[in-house]
Amino acid sequence: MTFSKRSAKTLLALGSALAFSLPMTGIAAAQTSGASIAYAGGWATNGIVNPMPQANGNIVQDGIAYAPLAIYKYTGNYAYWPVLAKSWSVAANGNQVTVHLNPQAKWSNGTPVTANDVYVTFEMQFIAQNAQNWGLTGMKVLNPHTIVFYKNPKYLYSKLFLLQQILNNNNIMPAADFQQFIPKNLWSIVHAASGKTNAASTKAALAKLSKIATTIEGHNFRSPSALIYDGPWSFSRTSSAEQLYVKNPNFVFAKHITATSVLAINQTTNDVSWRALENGQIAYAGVAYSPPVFKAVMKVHQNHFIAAPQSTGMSIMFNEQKYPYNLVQVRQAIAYMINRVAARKVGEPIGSVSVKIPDGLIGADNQQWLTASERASLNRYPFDPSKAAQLLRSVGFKKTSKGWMMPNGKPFVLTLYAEDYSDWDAGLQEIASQLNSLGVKTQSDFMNTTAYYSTTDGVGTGKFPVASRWWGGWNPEPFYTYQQAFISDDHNFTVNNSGQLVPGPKPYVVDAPTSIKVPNLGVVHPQQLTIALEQNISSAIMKSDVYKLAKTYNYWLPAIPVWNQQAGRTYSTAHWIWPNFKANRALLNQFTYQTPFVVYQILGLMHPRP
Amino acid sequence: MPMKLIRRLAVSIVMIFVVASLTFFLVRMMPGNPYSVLYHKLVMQGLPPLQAMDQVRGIMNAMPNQPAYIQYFEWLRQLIHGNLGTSIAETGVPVTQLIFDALPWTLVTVSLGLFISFVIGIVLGVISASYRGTWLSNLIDNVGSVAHAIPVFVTAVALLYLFNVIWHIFPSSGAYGIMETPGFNWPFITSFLYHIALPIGTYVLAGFGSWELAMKSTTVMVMNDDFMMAARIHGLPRDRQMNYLGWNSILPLFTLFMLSLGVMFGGSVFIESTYAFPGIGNLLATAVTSRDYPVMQGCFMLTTATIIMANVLADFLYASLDPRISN
Repeated sequence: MTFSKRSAKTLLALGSALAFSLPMTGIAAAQTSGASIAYAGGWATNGIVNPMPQANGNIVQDGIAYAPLAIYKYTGNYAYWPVLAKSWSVAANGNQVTVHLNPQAKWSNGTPVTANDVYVTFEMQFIAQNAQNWGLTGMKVLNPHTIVFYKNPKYLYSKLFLLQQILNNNNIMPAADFQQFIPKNLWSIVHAASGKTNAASTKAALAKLSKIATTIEGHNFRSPSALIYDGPWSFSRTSSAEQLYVKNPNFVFAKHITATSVLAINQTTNDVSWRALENGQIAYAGVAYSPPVFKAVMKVHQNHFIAAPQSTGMSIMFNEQKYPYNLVQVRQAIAYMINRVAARKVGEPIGSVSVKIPDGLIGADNQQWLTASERASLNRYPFDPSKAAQLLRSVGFKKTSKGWMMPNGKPFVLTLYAEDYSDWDAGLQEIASQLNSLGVKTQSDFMNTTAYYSTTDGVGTGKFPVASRWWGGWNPEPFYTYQQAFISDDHNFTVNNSGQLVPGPKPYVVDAPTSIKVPNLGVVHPQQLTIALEQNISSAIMKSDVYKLAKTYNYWLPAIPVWNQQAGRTYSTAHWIWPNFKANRALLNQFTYQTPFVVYQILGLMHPRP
Repeated sequence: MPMKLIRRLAVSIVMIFVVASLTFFLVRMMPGNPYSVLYHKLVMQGLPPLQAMDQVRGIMNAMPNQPAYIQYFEWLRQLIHGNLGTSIAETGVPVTQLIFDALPWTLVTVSLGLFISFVIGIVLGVISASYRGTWLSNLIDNVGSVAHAIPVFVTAVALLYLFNVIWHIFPSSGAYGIMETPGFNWPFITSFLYHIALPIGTYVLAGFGSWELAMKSTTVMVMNDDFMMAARIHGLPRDRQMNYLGWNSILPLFTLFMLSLGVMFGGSVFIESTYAFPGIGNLLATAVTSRDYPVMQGCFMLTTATIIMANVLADFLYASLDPRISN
C-alpha cells in the first residue's frame, strides 16, 4: 500500500486540526474559574439519572441540587440555619413537629415548594422503612406551607434526633417527579408492615414496600434536565469523571449564591483528588494523605488542610467479661502502659490528635458538655509504667524475667485483634511494641474489614477479648458513644422501642455491667443513663448525665481511646474567600457533616476572590 | 464445515454456561456481602451507625436471604429469558443496561489499544529479527521486555503523573469533557480522542512488548525455513522476501490476537479504574467493591463469552488464512 502526496497532505491537515482542537477540550472544562467552584465528589455512572440514594454513590451530589428544610449546626442543641423552612415548632412532649415553609422557596422551574413536596419526601422515607425507625406515624398537610409530623408517643426516640431527621437529614424532593410512584394505598401498606414480625400479612406488606422502593430507585429520568431542583444549583450534565451544576435562580437564597456553577470531579480513588489539587483544579476535597503527598499538595495553589472535629477514632476495646480484662485494674494498667502520643504519631500523623482524657468524648465535646472542674476530676491516664505495675500487682500479677505472669502462673499474653487499615496497623504495632517492652506479651492479628466484621460483633461475643475498634459513635451527641461503650460494644442497637434493653442476636451479650461503683461518684447505672440521653430531658439533666457517664467511662475503661481521628479536609483559597470557620464551631462542623462550601454559600458567607 | 461450526458453537455455549455457573457460586464465596459492605462504607464516611443501618435498609430494600441453590435456579430461569437480573448496588437498574452502557467505551479503547500495540509490536519484531545480534535488536527487545513486565496499573499511574500532573497535557479521567454531548459531532469526537489518549497509551505500552517478542521469535523461525532460503537463492528482491517473511511470521500471532480481545477486558479493570473510564472494567471493579453479585456475574460472563467465542473464531479464520491447518 502506498500513499499519494495528496492523501498524505489530507491526513496531515486532519491530524493538525485534531491536534489543535484537542487541547480545547477536557482540561479546560475542569478548570476552576472565579465564579465556579470545583470540588471532589463521588458517584457511580450507572447509565440512569435518578437522584435517590444508591449504594455506589448518589448520582446527584448531596446538598448541591436538593436542599433540606434546615441545616443542623451539630452543636448538641436545637440550633439550625433555616433553608426551605421558615420556622418550626416541637410540641412539649416531643410527639409533634410543625414545619412552616418559606413562601419564597421555589423549584428550579419557578413553581413553589409546597407542603405536598415535603409530604411526598417523607412518604418515600416510609417506603424505604426509615421513618418508622424514628417513631414517625404520619404527616398532615395543614395548608400549602404548613405540615405536621406525628410521632408514636410510645416510641423511644428523642426530639433532638427526630428534628434532625425532619429538618436536616432529608433533602426535600419534588412531588412533581416522585408522586407518580406513591401508591394510593400506601398508608394501609405501611400500617400492615408494622404488624407482628412473622405474620404473613406483615411480610407481604414489607415486600410491597421494598418493591415500590426498587421501582423508585431504578426509574430512569434519562436527563438531569428532566428533573426540577430546590437546591442552590441545578444538576446540568454528568459523565463518569465530572458533573456540572449551574446556579438555580429560583433557589430560596439565590441572592447569597456567588458561584455560578459547581463542577464535581469523581473521586473514585484518593489519587484523583491529589492530582486535581496539585493541578489547582479543585477548591475542596475530603481526602486522606500520605506525608509526601500531603507536602506536595499543600505547597501549591493555596491549598490548606483543616482537621475538623469528628467524634471518632481508634480505640482498644475490651470484652469486660473475659479474664483478665474483666478486672478494671488490668484495663487501667494497660491504659497506663500505652503511650498514646507516640502511637498516634506512628499511626495517624495527619488529621488526628491523641486522646487527652479517655472518657468517651472527643476534646471538643468535652469542652462542650463538661465544666472545667468536671474535666479536671477525670483521670488522664498518662504513660506511667510504674502505676501500671502497681495496678497489676494489686490483682495478683507478678513480673518475672519472662515478663508479666498472671496469678495462675501463666504468662500474660494479649492478642490484639484489628481491622486491617494501614494506619491502624502501624499504630497498633507501635502499641504492641510498647506493651512488649513493658513485659506484656502482645501480638496483633490483623484481618480485612469484611472478615473482621463478618465475625458478628467479635468483642461482644468474646471472640475478640481485646480488639481495636472505632470509638466515639461518629456523632457529637453523647448518646452514641455511650451506647457503644455500655450497651452494644458495637453497632448493634439493643434497646427496644419501649426503652428496654433486649438481647441482641445470639451469641451476642452485653458485656458491660448494669451498675458500676465509681470512686467519688457512687453507684452509676450506665445503660439507664445512656437510654435517658435519648429521651426528652432537659439540657441541664443531659449535662449532668453526660458527666456521670464520662466519669464512669473514665474509671471503668470499656475501651481505651487512643487517638481521635479528625475530619481531614483540604480547601483552596486561590479563588475563594472562605468564612472564618475556625472561630465558629457550627461552621467548622460543616466540614465534618456536610459539603461545607454549599452551607457557606447558602448562608452568604463565601465570596470569589477579586 | 457448517456441522463443525455448529458443533464448536454448541460446545462453546456449554463452556460459557459451566463457567458462568461456577462464577455464580465463586462470587458468593467472597468474604462480605453487599449489605455489610455498604453499611461499613457509610460508617466510614461518617454516618452514625444507626443512621447507616437505616440507609442500608432504605437503599438495599431487601437482602437476598434465600439459600444459594434457590438463588442459582432463579438466576438460571432468568438467564434463559435473557435476563441477567438487576443490580443490587444500583437498585433496580438492569444488569444488561449497565453492561450495554459500558461496553462501547471499552470496545473502542480495547480495540484501538490492541490494534496499535499489535502493529507496533509486529513492526518492531520484524526489525529486531532482521537486525538480531545488533545493538538495535537488543534495545528493542529490552524495551519490549521491560514495558511488558511493568504491571499495567503502574504504567497507568506513571503516565497520569507525567502527562497530567507534571506536563498538564492530557486530562486525568473520564471519556469526554463535561461540556460535550455524546454523539456523532466533532467537539465530542475530539474530546473523546483527547480523553482516551492516556488509556490507549497504557494499553499500547503494556501490550506491544509481548507482540514484539513473539513476532521476533516467529520471524527468526520463518527466516530459516526452506522457502525463505529458496527465495534468497533465487535472488528475489528484498521487499518481496520481506513480504513472504512478514505474512508467514504473523500467522501464528493471529490466534493470540483474537484471544487478546477477551484478555484485554481483564486488563481494562485496572486501566479504566485508574482513568475513571466508564467501561466494563470500571463497572466490574465497582461491582466487586460493593459485592454487587449480579453485575459481577454479568461482567465475568461477558469476558468468558468473549474469550471462548474469540477462540472459536480464531480457529475458523486461521483455517481460512492457512489452508494447511484445515487439511
